[in-house]
Amino acid sequence: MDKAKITSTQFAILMYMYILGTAAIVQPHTIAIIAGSDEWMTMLLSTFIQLGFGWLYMKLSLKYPDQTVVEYSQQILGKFAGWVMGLLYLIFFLILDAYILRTVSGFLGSVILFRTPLDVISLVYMIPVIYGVFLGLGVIGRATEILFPIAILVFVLSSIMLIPKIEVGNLLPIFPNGVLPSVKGLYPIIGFPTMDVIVVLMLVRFIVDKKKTRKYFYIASVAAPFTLVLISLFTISVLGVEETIRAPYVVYDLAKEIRIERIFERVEAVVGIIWMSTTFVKITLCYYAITITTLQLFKLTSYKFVIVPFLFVVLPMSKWVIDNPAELEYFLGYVYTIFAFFPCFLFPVLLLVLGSLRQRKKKNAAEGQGQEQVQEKEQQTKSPSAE
Amino acid sequence: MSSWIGIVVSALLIGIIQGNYLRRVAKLQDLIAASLILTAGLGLYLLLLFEAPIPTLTKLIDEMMEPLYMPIAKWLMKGSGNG
Repeated sequence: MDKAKITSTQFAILMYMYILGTAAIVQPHTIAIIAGSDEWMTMLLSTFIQLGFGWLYMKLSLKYPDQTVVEYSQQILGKFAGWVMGLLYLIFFLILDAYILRTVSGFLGSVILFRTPLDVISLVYMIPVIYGVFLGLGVIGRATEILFPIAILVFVLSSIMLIPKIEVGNLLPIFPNGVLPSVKGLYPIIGFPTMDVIVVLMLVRFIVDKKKTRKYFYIASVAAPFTLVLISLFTISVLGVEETIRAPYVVYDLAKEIRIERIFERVEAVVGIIWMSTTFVKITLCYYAITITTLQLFKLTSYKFVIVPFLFVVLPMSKWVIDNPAELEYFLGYVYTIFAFFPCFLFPVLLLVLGSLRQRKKKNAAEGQGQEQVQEKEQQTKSPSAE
Repeated sequence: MSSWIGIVVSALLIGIIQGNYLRRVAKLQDLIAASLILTAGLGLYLLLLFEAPIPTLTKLIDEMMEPLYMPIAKWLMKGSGNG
């Protein structure tokens, strides 16, 4: 097992970057198809849902603070059923990692590296991920502490430079078809990235100062959707709804609008670095979860022995998951939320309820035993006096 | 195509190097797990390389989840540009 530890602050930064991940690249486009110009409202509403899921995951993780979901599912459900649940989580993390890798390699392949084969982009992207996972969660946490201010600085600067391009008219009228489209837009957001935060069930075990974890995690859970609100406000107000619906990587197209004639041009690649860094965090954490799950399921000596072999599973899987970007768009928009519902909502709720019942039963049994002992003692003290 | 072959060859090389290392250093369980994972990955690679008629993972999940997600998808598409 990885002996490295992370602080609650590092955990919160990791989660902020994780939630933004590829969602910032893909979701503004997907949500705009459903919610139109009101997609900012969808993102705003998603903050509450993110907090709700955050509460569920924190409740479960902090109930068993020194174990991962693989360990306490075996404790709650019994050896076999718990092991099967762990295996399902392993498969889920693998699939999630493959989808994220496919999304980012598709993004890089279609907007920056046109003539580079997707396999090569994926392989090159995975090399730092593998190295990061090999060095452990502590190093990943510290690396994210370095990446985070850079990403925020580029985001703030690019936002400031986009202000002159804003056309408030693009955001109007607000709610032309009522609030329903904004509510409908929540559906894909709940799946991707809200429920992906399930990875915390694998990470809380490695946090040193667990007292602060809940608070910092909630801050990250609000900050990340709020960033998505800003992104959607910028995309709609600068590019308009039609362009947002048409462009699959709308944030990149948004960055193309940053232009100060002959002084500052073609900054989209720099802005793209933010999204590559957030995606890097997401892929790395998922990959870390894959290796730790395998270690615990199969009782291995070290998680490092399976890091490289899993690379050769994730790479073909990223190729296998979809045939074309349209398929990915449909999957993320309609299928993924239901698919993720089982491992990311149903299983944690089941574990939480059964865990609580088990604890209550134990407590009652202990109380019952205690009462019996007290009664026995009372009888013993009474019996000599009766004699 | 050539990039695929490169990846397959590198997977085989890594398998041999790591296999040797694990045989000396680690437990048999580690060696078995690492070998099985690598073999599964390589198998999938080869299936894709020779364009085996397997549906994409998205199609598989799509078919599995269709009864559950279809009513929601129809509701979402109603009134939108896709409807």
